[in-house]
Amino acid sequence: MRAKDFSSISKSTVLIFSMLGISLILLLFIIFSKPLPTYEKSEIFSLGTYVRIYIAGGKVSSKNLLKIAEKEIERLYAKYSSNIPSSVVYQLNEKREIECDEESLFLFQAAVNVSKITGDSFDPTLRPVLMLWGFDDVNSSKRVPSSYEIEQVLPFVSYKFIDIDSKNRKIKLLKEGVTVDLGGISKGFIVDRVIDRIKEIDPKATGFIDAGGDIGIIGPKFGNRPWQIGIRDPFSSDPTKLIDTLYIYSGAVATSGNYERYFIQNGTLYHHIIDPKTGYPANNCRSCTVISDKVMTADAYATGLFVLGIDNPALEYFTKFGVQAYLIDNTGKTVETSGFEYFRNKVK
Amino acid sequence: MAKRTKKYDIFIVAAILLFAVIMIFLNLLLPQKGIIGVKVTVDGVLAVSITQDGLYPVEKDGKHLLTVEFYQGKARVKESTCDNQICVKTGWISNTNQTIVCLPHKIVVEPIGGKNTDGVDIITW
Repeated sequence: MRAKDFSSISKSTVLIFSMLGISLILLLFIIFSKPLPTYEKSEIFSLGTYVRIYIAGGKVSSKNLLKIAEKEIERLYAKYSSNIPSSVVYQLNEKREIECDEESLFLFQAAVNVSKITGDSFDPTLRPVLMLWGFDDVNSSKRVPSSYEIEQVLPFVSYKFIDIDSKNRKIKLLKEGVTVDLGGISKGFIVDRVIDRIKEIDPKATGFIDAGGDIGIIGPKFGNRPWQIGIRDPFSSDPTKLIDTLYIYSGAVATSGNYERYFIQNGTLYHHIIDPKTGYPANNCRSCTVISDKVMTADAYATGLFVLGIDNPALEYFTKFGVQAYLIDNTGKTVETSGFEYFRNKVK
Repeated sequence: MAKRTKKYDIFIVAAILLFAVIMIFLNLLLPQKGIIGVKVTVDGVLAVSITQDGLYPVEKDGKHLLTVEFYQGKARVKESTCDNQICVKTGWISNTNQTIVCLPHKIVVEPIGGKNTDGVDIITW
């Protein structure tokens, strides 16, 4: 009898302790386990904005990838900024004709293509007009130019004055007075190139690059989850207030908004997204968000579709070029392309 | 005897599991307190790390740029000498995924600690 009691107590004790042990191990595992990759981040002021890089390396250390990304951004910024004397763009504006590499040819051709497709609502030759308004540089003094001044410079604004000779690798400006600024497309292009470079070195790297709200995804969050991307509420002065949320595994998102760079004169707001056809800020839109597979595409079309405005009857047509767009006007009315909704769903 | 012990076992196991589940849910659902502080960088160089409530002027080369206020887990730029005042208009931040950026002064006010409570990783603007 005693032996039986002893064996029964021993059994139950073992059971209790083993259950307790398992529960404790599970609990500790849940609390302390960190199986997910660790992201390293870096913030730099470049590309005329604030750039955030967020990387977790697969086979290369995240810190090394960050350094490579930072260097590549600076190198490409120096190559394409219109304000740096050694840049391709500065040289073209000075010399009127230059020889250049395949990469530059591609970027110029891409800029001209977006101009054509958007019916000149995006234009890389807008620089003379931007200079009048003071939107060519963050430190330029802003003012409303007279209509006479605008009329004087508009004849120099058209992508048709850029001649690209791919065969001989030459770019030429066909009219005296025409100047180029790739600011509306080069930021996105540079982010794309940096992501390509990172993926070449480490195909399993994940993370993103956020260049002033123009976002390129290096790879899904922790390798298998979407990045949750908030769209800024264009009616709030608080840039962290959101109006919508997207879930993106790969590709790019960019937004153009009239709250980014602006000044107010006599109670009227004048912003930096200028319609190349009129020389004045485009006022039929407040915010335009574009999703695409490349940041360059998203960046350029966000500007072009902003200028075309909310009443653009051909908005759906642009999905042919790999973009999905969401526009908000000054009254809060919204329109979007048919595929945009897909990116609002967390589970695909 | 054996029967009583089994009942007792189930009770303990159930209690442990319940405790584990409650702990997990508390960890996931309890509203997090704000950030524990902010670090302020000027052109990538750390200017000040703030963890105590108060007003912190930020300057470079002896020139006053802006003032950061930290109060009960929230931070804001109280005033700035920049043109566009976007940093001031940003208002209070209290979430780890929020930052205040002053482009003209190249200043970033970035949270220390805290948890991402709204789930958003990046903002497009």
